Amino acid sequence: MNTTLLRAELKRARRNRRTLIFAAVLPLIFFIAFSAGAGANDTLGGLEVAPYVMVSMATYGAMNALFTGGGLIAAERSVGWTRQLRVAGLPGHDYVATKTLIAYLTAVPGLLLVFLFGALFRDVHLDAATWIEAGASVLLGLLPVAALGIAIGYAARAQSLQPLFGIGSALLALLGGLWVPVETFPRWLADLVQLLPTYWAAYAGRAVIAGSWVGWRGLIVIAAWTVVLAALAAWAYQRDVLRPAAAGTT
Amino acid sequence: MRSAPLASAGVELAGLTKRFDAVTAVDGVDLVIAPGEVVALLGPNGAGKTTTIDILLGLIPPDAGTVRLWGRPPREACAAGYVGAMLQSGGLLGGLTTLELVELMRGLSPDPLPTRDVLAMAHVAEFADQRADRLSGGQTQRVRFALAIAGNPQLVVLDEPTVAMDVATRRGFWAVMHDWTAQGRTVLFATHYLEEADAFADRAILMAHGKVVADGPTAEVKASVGLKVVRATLPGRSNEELGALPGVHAVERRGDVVTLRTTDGDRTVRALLGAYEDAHDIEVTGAGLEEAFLALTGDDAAAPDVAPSPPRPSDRPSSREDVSS
Repeated sequence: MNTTLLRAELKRARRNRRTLIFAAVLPLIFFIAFSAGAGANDTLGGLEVAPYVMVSMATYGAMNALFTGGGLIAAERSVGWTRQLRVAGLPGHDYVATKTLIAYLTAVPGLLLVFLFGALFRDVHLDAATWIEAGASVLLGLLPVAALGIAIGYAARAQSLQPLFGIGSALLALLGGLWVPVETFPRWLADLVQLLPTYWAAYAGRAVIAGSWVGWRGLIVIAAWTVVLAALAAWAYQRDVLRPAAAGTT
Repeated sequence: MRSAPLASAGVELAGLTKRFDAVTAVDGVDLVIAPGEVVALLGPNGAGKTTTIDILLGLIPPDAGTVRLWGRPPREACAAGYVGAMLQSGGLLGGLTTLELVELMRGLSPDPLPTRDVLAMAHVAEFADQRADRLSGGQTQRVRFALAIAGNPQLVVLDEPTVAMDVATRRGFWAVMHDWTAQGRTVLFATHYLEEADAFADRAILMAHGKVVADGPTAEVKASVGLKVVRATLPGRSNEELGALPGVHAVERRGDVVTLRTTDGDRTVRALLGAYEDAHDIEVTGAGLEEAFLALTGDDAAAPDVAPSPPRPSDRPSSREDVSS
């Protein structure tokens, strides 16, 4: 990976406060609201409500960061920046790797913030290893979303990024059972949701807290989506690379 | 460390062809640019300039033909830091200052220019610490030029660098460019403006319909562009007959109105009046660059002294009418 680009991208990520709204502030507010009325004896999917919602919201925030992180490629394509980097000799895979790493780094503050709130104000008590494992499981479980973000970054126009992000994020959160627990869904919908990666990303985090792991089924769903969406991203990348900058100019 | 470039090789394009669906954007372009040359690539919209540049830079693959930059394929040459570019419709990355952008591009090159040289040469030092996405249009173009030269490239390619600039900004930009070319660097720039080619290029290449239609020292190409258009109402004469008039290399007819493209307007008019007493409503206008491009395209370019007569599809743009009206 090119360290010069990484350093510049880190500076940009630090200065881009807007990402934090969706990656940290919004999930924290949801966490506070959704876990406020829960009693100590209420449980969801084998966990108390507070840790359950905490992991859901941590997943939601991280998902937003990964989704936008890749999507930002569309904005950089639209100003010709990706072409500029290619002329400067930067291989495409270096650029994508840097973008993915940065997207993951921007996912961390929101996750930490939600976890911290859970530990301090919602009586979620875990040992250090479990905190780390739960966070890491969520982030790994979101690999398909990172790939999806890159695919959108290479396929979408910069102007369509906002609506795509708004709708996509809401759909992924809803269908992944991040906003409303899957346990309250009708049976047929719950079955459908279990085919989606965002459900399993949150499940992976909760499973760690419950003293278990995501399990083979979840692992297979996440791996399959990762392969499919990474292939989609690679296709979108190739298509973009072979295309002239703007239609109509020669 | 960069290995020494081959002494003779600069830019070599051979048989370059690129189609987009039904349109052949670049049609068999052969081109050699020696190191140190400053070359203007001229042509109307749709001539194939940008596609040629994109292929030259390795941004899109050609359907046929080869590109060598200092003896290497474009991607290798780019990776080795031989090439800097200011691409069309390019903006700047948000969130970084001018200086940070320059440092980023320097960091991507194996053998960059010193930072202060980049800032001084591109005249961007005064706003080096400002966010680059908040600069004026002229400043933005200077920053983009700074990014093009930061890697200390042998070749700088500029695709219509002044297209959105006002006159003063444009002049300022070319002053900056002039300092750069004075160092013996190779520069290829695409432009619509003949005067830019005239002022800054040693050599001009004219493209039309994907082909190179003229290539030579700027003064020579300019002379060939110094065409006249003679228009007259003259019924009942064949195009072949009129094409034989001195200087005429293309004839066109709409009803009774004939349009003659000539390299010598005075001689053509004298001969026209001498030979045809019924010729009237004669107008002589200087051919614009657009006219010259059209005159140099296709049949005209292949056989400049005969008169191709039937109007070709390319001969019907409305700009043609504007010449005398």
